[in-house]
Amino acid sequence: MPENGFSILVKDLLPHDCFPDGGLPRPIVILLGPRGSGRTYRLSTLEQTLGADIVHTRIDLAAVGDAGPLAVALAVARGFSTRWPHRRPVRFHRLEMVELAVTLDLGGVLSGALTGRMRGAFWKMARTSAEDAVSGLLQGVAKNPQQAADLTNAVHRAVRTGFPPGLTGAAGRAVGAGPAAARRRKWRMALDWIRSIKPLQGVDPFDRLVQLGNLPASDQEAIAMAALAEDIRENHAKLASADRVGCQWCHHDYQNRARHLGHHWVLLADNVDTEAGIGFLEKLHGLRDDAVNDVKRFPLLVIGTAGSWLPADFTGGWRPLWETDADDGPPVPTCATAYEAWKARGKPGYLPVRLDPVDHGEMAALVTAEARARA
Amino acid sequence: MIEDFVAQCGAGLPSAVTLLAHSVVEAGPGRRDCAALPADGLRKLLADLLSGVLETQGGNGRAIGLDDVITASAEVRAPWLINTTGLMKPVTASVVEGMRRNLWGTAPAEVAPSVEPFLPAAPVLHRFLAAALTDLLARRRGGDGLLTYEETYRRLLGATVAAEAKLPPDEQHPERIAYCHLAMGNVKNAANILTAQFNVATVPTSQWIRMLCLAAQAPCPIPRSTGIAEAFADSVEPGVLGAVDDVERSVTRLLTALWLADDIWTVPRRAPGGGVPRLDERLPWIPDAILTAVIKDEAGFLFGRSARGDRQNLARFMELFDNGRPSPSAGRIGAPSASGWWRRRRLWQQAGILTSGIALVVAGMVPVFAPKSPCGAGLRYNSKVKACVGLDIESSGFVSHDPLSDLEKQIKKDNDQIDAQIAEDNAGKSTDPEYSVSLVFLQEMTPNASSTITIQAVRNALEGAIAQTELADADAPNFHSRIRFKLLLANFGANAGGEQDAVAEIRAAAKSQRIAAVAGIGQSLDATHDAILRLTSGPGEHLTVVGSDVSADTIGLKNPNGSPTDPQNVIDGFYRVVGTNDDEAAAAAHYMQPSEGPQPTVVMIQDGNGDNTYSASLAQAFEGHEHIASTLGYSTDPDHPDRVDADFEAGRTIFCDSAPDFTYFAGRGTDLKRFLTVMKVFSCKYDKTYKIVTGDDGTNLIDPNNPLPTGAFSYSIVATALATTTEWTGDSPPAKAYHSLAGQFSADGFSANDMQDGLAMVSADSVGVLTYATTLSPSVQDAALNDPGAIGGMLQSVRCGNSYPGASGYIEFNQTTHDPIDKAMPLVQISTSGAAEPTGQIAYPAGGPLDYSQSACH
Repeated sequence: MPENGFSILVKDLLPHDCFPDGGLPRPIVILLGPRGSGRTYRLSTLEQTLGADIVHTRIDLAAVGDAGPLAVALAVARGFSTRWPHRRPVRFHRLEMVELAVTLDLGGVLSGALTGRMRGAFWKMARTSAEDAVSGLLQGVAKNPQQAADLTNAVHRAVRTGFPPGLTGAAGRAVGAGPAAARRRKWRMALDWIRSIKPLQGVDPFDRLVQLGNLPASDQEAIAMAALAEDIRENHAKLASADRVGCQWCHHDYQNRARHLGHHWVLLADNVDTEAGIGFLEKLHGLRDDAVNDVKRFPLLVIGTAGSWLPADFTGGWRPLWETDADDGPPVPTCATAYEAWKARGKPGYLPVRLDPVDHGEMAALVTAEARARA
Repeated sequence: MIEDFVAQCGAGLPSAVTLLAHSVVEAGPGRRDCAALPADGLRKLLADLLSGVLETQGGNGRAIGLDDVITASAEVRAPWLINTTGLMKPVTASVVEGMRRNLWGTAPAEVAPSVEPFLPAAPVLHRFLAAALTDLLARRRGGDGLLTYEETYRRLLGATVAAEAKLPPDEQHPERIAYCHLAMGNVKNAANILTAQFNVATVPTSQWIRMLCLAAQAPCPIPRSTGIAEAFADSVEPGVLGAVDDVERSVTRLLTALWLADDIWTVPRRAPGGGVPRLDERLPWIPDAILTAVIKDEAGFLFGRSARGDRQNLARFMELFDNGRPSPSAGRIGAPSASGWWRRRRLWQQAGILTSGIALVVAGMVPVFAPKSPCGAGLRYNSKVKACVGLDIESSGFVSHDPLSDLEKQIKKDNDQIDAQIAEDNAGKSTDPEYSVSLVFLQEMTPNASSTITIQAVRNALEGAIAQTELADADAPNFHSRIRFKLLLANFGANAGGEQDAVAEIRAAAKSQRIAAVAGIGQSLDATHDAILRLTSGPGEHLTVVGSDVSADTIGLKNPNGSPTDPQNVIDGFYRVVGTNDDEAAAAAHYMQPSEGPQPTVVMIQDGNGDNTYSASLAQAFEGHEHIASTLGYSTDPDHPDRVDADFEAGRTIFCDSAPDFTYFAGRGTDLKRFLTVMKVFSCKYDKTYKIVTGDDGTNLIDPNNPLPTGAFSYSIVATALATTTEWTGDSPPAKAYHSLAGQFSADGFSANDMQDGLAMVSADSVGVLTYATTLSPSVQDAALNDPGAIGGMLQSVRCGNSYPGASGYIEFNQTTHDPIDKAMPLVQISTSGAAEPTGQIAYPAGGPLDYSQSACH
């Protein structure tokens, strides 16, 4: 990527444990530019540059319709779950578990024997395939044949489409890879995690999963986001070993350090100023404030784009251009000045930045491409 | 040029490019009608860009339409007028709010951070959007119930005047009225207002510049069929003729130039010899050569007329326009009289003297606080080029682990031997003692990634200079000469970035080191031109400079845009031993011309970096010799080296498809290599061998250790070389000189390959011609004992039968231009293995070699 204000900002924010800024929690960067100003172009260029070196994914929040944060979180997880060269596979056990409990919509289902069956089914899932396991789980729990059929379809749909590609077709194949003991350990960690989630009650994680299925949607979404965050944190630590050598994105003083946790993962989110985007940002931001997660170590750098000025709650106290009163906060910086401005401010949260104009060389390339297309 | 223009018009908005690229009819310099934007296409684009705005509700409950936005555009692009006038209608308020929400309102700082102190802080409309909306407003003819451009701004002017009149004097903004006048095309009234403000002693300069810039943002109602020069002359005339004094005339011209320069539909004119202009990050437009010259000139004049404490802001303002490097006198179009120039020049000289005085005081303080220098005697560390620059008196090197350290050691050894030899020869001598003088070989000794020269090329040149100095010292007794020569190396850093420091060090050591002249210089860059000027002029000792491979036509001129044959404009004390770019271009054109048959199609690839004097003048010269079917531009920028590749990638399809018979590459050899690297992975539409012809810098590609890129792209390269190893046959004097040099190379243990690119021969000749000059008259031997600089003065005599037979050919200097007359110029083919393959052709600018016998005088 040609060096410009945006690339420099990304480079400054990308390192995960070699901060020249002392390790401030990374902000949620929102790239502001009017329609047609090259926001998507910038994001595409960055995506190409990150390549296989930096774990990243991209989502267009204008294309997800009215999907809620859970659906967006699943899409994000799916994006991260491609096979990264020289790295171990990415797994989202917690999110899968939450997604399963939510998708099954267990409200109204007889649940007397469900906990025990769920327990058995999970361990079976860890050994064989998710589809078989979940199908077995449903036997005898539905009130009537129609509900059984609906639930079965829901499960299969969930397994086929809901799980990240690395696990689809499903979860069984991916989960089935590797020693059984390791697989069980992963699931046990996920179940341990469910024990820590409020407002779920009870010691038995399977009891908690049943409760999760019956929670209001907003609570389910909050738990799904927490699952996503915890899974990212765990996967990041696991995959970071590949970052230890040749840390070209890191501050040069750290480039030769024998061991560090490398770079943040990057979520590139187009059009966060849509309804789905706002909802997702809200949950993501809330999650970062959650004491359960140590924000300093949350290894996800979010770079969103917006073609309109966001509501006040999503601008982190930065002042829009047309406001001149300094009491309204510091003015929204440009990409070139954003890092220093953010560092000086010393606050996590949102960092809206103004898109630098596409420079001469890039414009010239666009003109040439246009001329070529015309020919 | 189209790319530049579209980039300027698009103002960083890629989606505008599509429409613009389709609409540019002919991008002639100085024209304003090149983007023939169809109204429906423009409306369609705006409807798409403004979709977020058009979705909002106007004050009357209906959705805002595009015509509402066009009508409101006059106020939206100047929001500071809205609050003043109270004109804003509900629908305008909705448009403003919609523009803000959808991020079309930008701050000036976004596009011009350095201008920020001068420009109004209020957000303004995006440049392209503002221009496009104004364009549509100007197309209204009336009669359809929609306000026309004239009606809109007449109302705005009236309301602004009325609103300002209601304010107390210290809260008024006269520049807003000036803005409205200017939008109506009334320059005189606008200038009158700003002149009055300039004359108010309590208005600080920074505030006045802010007023000026705000007013100059007014839209321009002059029909786009009127070119920029005509528009300037027509606009400025009433104001200049009716002005009461020089200040008002100057403000009129300054305001008009700024106003027209800010018009994005203008295709900027190139600075003479300055190449393709570029968008400068500090300015939102590409500087037009003539307009920026006017701006600088008038701002300089006003600087002199201002007595305010912060008038330095005018100087800072002028610096913003340095990008186009216009000459101070290049652009006095529509000038009322030339009488102001000398007066202004004196004022600037005074300012310069004052600045120099301060600099000297500061410089005197530095050693007290400065840490110990990492550099040896005669050198100082330059952080810009990250190396020691100056004169290497102790052969201590220019960087740690200097790759030239073996040569530096050899020079020290040679110099020590000279001292020992002189001491031995002078022992017991009471008269006519032998003595030594120093020849400084100055060039870029520490190339970096942004350099257009390799360390190998530096080495080759140095070896030539060393070998020739050794030959001269060995030959001195044969000429009964008492002068012995020491070589001292000097470095001005990568791209001559540290030339000021280097020159200061050389001049400081001129007496103590008995410097006779400076040879070398290396490449033709703006910075090397500056170095030549500083060495040969200014207060203190003047040194003679002999360029070894500087070939740009203008490098020997004080004012590159002035006359090359005007003796007043030729730099005294500068000579060179290679032919000019004009000569090279003539040779290249001659090579391309078939003896019969149709004319070949020629494409020129040109470096647009105006700082690169070599490339610019090569392109200019070639344009004069050959009909060029099309020109492809690229632009080198030391701060952004990646852009070159991007430019080549952008242009390679067009290049391939044009399938020229010849391609003239008017750029550096390193750029040519990058071009070939970009092309090697690209399959051209036509399966043919592309014949590339380039200038002498192409010989930097001759390096058997670094073969050229090969791949799908088939090509051949011919360069007009400075000299070659196979140039001479027989026993002509140049042949003898070459063989002597080659013999010394061998004796010194230098590789014969190092002579292949010819740099060794021309650098040897730059030293050789100086040593030769000492043999032309016995008197110089006496004169140089007390004044080593006298040797340089003898170069005037290298003519009329006193030609110097150098290894690169006969050299005799033109009495006026100091350029060599009819210098031999071999053509070499550079193979993909990096070897030079002779074509057997030597080109002469005069068509053939001259008569160099003793009786001939050219």
